[in-house]
Order: sequence, then structure tokens, then C-alpha cells
Amino acid sequence: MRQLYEYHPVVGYRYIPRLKVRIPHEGGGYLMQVNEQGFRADRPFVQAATRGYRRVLVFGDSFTAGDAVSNRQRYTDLLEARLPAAGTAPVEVYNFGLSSTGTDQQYLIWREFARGIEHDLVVIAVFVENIRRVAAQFRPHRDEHGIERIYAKPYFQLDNDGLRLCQVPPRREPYEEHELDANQAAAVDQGGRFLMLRKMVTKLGMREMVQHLTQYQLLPHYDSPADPAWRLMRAILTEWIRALDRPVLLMPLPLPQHLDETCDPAPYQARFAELAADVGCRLHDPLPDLLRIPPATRRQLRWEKDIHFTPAGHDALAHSLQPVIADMLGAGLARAN
Amino acid sequence: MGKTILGIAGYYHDAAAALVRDGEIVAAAQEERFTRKKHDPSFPVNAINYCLEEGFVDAADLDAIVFYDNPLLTFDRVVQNARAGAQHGDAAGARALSPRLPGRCWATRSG
Repeated sequence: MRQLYEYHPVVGYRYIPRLKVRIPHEGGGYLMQVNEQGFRADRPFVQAATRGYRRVLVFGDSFTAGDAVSNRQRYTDLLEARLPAAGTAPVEVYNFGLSSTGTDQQYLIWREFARGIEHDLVVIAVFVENIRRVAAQFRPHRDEHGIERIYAKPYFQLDNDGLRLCQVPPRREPYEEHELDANQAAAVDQGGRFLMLRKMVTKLGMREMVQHLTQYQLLPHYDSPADPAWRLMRAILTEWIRALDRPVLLMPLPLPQHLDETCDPAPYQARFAELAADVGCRLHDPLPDLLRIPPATRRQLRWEKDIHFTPAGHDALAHSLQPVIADMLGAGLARAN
Repeated sequence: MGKTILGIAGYYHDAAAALVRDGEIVAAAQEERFTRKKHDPSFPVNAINYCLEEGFVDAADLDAIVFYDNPLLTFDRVVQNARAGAQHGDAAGARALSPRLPGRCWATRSG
């Protein structure tokens, strides 16, 4: 199995710098180029602003990093190509997405790699499932032999003094199950509730039908503002957004079940709306735009088996985001003048 | 920008792929190098992936994909040989025919 990641003592891992590969996939395969900083990009991320260009920094997980599509097919790259045609100045979009990370690790990516980079706008794209990863202290990843192993991740704890960063540096080697005590075992991200039942239903090929019939709520963490996982997620996002001195766009990305309308998005929509109002950043929820696409076409926004966006999915997201980014960059430019 | 062409040989011994850009070979590989099966005849997915990676080109950006063989023409030749051999009591031709039937000879219905 091709190794795409290397150990990083703060974030946990990153893409191997200067990697240039084609990854076989159910869609045939996709090209992935990594720059010298370890992010999927065809150019290095430089600190100083480029004369005549606006710069947007984008953070997120695999949906932003572009799992299953080539670099240039991602919504960030599409935005960079299209925004000048929409009337903005030329734009550089730096995509700091890293697969399989939680919002906590994305915040650490900003602290480690992006804090000193001059920019005009920050987009934080939160795949709403990230809330589970934020609450987790260990996550399963495939090793170089394709075997799923449990790895430690950096995580934050929220106490009276605020956020406390833990497990940094995370252990490089994977953990065996017997090495974890009961608390640690409970902090392994198992991909959601009812692990055995989920495995059985998935094996029978009945997952979508069962979720539809039961209206299964995959992420109950958003149901209440007082939920511990949401309070942690909210604290991380609040600290991050307040540390930024440029406009911020917060963008929750829906689950496939939200796109299929088999799961209620209202809880997460409410939480992110409250957060954006409290911290004073702009919120863009792309779900209403995506739900306007007819269901048969909407299903083609993701792959048949892989839940990640197809090129059509990235295109739809770029279309939804483009007027918002153009508006924010235009407003920022007006203020600067 | 010139033409980029992927050539594929498969379903026969030593399956392979090659990528040519402007008439220059960018990459070429035999499937056996990846599967470690000598003379591997399977469809060369690994060799194709290697060639596209080496040329760093998306499949959608290829100007042409060329298969080394006209399977119907080859099938016709094998049938003719089998028939000629059978007239002299030689069963080898018929044995050569059987692996060609599944998978290799496929044509869309026209009209």
C-alpha cells in the first residue's frame, strides 16, 4: 500500500512533502501533488503576500483536501480559477486540508503552518462529523500494509481555565488494544454509535435503507448547546476564530445523509449559527444550495461507494461558495482602500 | 500542447501500458512488475496507473487510449487456424480458441 503520510509531532501526521502520485480509486484514479510544506498543492505556500493577489486560506479535512479527486478538481482550486471572472482581483487559495483530521488538528495546522502567512480571508470548512474526531483521543488509520491500527492523536480538553492541549507529541507507533486502559478505549473514535449493529447492517448492504426508515440521527452531539462534544468543538473554533485578524468564513459541510434528506440537519445548523453570531464571523451553509439540485443529480455529487465529493460535488460546492467569497473579498478590499 | 496517448496491451501474455506525449515515450511498464506474476496477462491496471502517475496526467486529459489488438480480427484468425487444424485432426487450435471467448471478444450491438 502506498504511504501518503508521515509523522508530525504536533498535528499527528501530514502528507509526505513533495509527493506526486496517482491513487487508484473507484472513479479510476486521481492525481495528488503535495508541496514542500506537506499540503496538497502544486506550489509552495509562501508567507509574503503576492503583489496584486488576494489570498484565501482554507482549512478542513478530506472533503477540503480533495480525497478522490485531483488537486485541480477541488472546490478550492475551482474557486481560484473562477473568482477573477466573477470580478474579484486575482486570488490565491491555499488549501490546508488534511484527510481524516478533526477540527482540533486543523486548528493546530493553522498554528504550526499558517499563522505567519499573509492573507485576506480564512475559510474553516467543518465536515460536521468532525465533532466526533474532536472528542476522540485515538483514531483508527490504515498503516503501510493497509491494516487498520489505532493511533494516538493530539486533542484538547476543556476545563475551567479553557482549552488544554494534550497528547503532544502523540506516540508515533500504533497502539495495540491491550495497551489502552478503559478511559483510553472509550476515547477511540469508532465511527459512531452502535458499532456492531452498524457493521452488520453495512455488511448486509442495508445501511441507507435502515437509516432512512429509522431517521437515525448520526450526530446527537449537536442536539444541545450543552453537549460536551459540542462545547469542546465550540471552544476550539472560538479560540481559533478570535486569534485570526482577518475575516473568517465558517462553513459546515453536510453528511451524505443530510444530502439524501434522511437525517435532520437542523441541530448542527442551529449550533453553527449560534457560534457564528457569538464570535462575529460569517457563516455559509451550503446545504440549501445543494438541496436545490434534483435528487438524482444530487446523488452524483458523491461517489457510489466513497462518500467524498466527485468532481461534480466540488463544482457544486464551489458554485455555492463563490458569491460569498467574492462578496467578502470585495468588502475587505473596500475597507483596505 | 501536443497529443498524449495511452497504449494498453492486455488479456494476453505480458500485459503492459505505455504513455506517449508528442511521440516521445514518457512511461512504459509491464503488469508483471507490479503483480510479481511472470507474464501476467491480466488487464494492466497497475501499469496504467504507473504511466499516468509518471506523466502526471488525468485520464480525462488523454487525447486517445489505444488497445494493441483488434480482438475481432484476432478471433477471426484463431477461428480460421482452428478450422484448418481440425481438418487435419489437430485439436490445438480449438484449445487456443477457448480462452478467447470470455472477456476478449465483446462488441456493442450496432444499428
